[in-house]
Amino acid sequence: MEIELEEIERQLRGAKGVPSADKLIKYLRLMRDLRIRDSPTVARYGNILLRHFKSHLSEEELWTVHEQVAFAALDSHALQFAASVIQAINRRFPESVRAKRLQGMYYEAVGDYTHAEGIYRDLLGQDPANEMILKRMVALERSRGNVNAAIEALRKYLDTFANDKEGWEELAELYLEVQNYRQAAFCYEELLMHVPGNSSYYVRYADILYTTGGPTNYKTARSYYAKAIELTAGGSLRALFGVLACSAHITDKVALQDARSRAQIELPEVTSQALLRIYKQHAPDKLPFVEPILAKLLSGHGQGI
Amino acid sequence: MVACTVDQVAFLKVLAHAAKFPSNSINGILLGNCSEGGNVEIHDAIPLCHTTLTLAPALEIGLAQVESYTHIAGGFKIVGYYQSDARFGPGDLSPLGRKIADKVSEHQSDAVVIVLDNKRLEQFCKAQADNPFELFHRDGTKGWKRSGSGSSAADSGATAPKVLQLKGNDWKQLREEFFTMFKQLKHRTLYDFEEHLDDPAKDWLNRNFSAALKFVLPGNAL
Repeated sequence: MEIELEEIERQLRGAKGVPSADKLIKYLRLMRDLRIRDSPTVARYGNILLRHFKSHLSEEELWTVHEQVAFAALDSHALQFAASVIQAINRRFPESVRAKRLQGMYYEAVGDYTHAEGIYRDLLGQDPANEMILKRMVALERSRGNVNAAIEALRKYLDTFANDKEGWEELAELYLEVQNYRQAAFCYEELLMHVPGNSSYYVRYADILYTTGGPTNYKTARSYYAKAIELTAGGSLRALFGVLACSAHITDKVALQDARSRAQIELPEVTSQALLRIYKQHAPDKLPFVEPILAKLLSGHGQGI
Repeated sequence: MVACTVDQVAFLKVLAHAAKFPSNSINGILLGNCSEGGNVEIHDAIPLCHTTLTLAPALEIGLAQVESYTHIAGGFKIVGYYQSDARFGPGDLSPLGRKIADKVSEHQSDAVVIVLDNKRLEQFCKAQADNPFELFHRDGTKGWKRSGSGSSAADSGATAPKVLQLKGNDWKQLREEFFTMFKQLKHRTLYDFEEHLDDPAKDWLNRNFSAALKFVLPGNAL
């Protein structure tokens, strides 16, 4: 799908005059499916589609596109355009919570947080467990710069909606912003439980432990980086570097008797070789920068980078 | 007057980095030289992160690779750190940014910090103001302070750069160059160190980007 998207984008950019309706429709569909955030482009092409080719869309897709374009316009700060799209949605769906959410987001975009909050609180008054609106409350506090209030709101939300992956990811981000590494790590423990096969969660969790520091954390981080290497068949640079960085901080003498200890001793060397292979193949110009770092990490005990 | 003078290409790379990831906080390293009297010249910017600013590994490995690069290439070193916040607010150096800046200044005691101020960036883009960047310097043991914020030269920070300058001083030209680059989507061809970690073929040195700038900007001797 990504290749399809690249192709469509190329065609749209190269179009002389107004691009064709089906290319525009296809582009917007791909952007929705792939959930990529490129708001200025979506706003621009969405504008053309809505202005010239409304009749090419089914009723359902027409309003999905309206909503998509409204988001994009707000995100690109094209406020007048956003307002006109949102008004069209309001006229068509006067009682809709989704439409009212867009109104709230408009006020967020212009910086009128009080007005936005008013709209959201009204909606929550009618439906206190409304996922969408609860999430807007978190976003509101973030925009206001109230990270701690955002954290509180998001925690409450996740009490009810504990399966929301993106919610846990965002909560971790917020905790990291205030340098509460312990709670950020906890969020990733939740994510690892929910999605055990996601290598980037292993890497992120290990990153957090490494950043926190301390002998136990370096050891645990190393094992999570090692798992990520396994999951990515040795392709993750972050995990490979991570293993080396952790090993450099671990100073325990290890007995040579059992296989696991031997593996621990060999791990840095094996990892280093894997890194060199990747750089040789994909970024040979960077090899001279990487070799000294690997040498230092392999030789230094407890010194880190 | 003690100054920190920045080459166009360095500012353009910072702007491109910000333009590529408009909803993210971003950071990177500044390369150049320090001369006597505390003057700093910045010749290049190396974009580092756009998602894991708060985590050590990408930062440490990035810093180490950039340092290796300066040793091998020679002629300049790490002289500073830049950052821009995701939030649309006045450009301040966050507590985390200060910690990272401290780490960077382990390499260079005269290191400076440049923050891209989003509110001033809006004015810069609307041609209502010239310089969207804020300069910070180390004030002895007191931490990072805005430069030119009224402190006199008699302070302890007497040799720290007080004025941020663009080489050639033509902010209008910089703005035009930025707009041209942006319209041609060249900022999408800029790669930061994080992107390199996720795909090693992506060049965090951005040699193609710098070379392409020469064609984007006719008559501009970079």
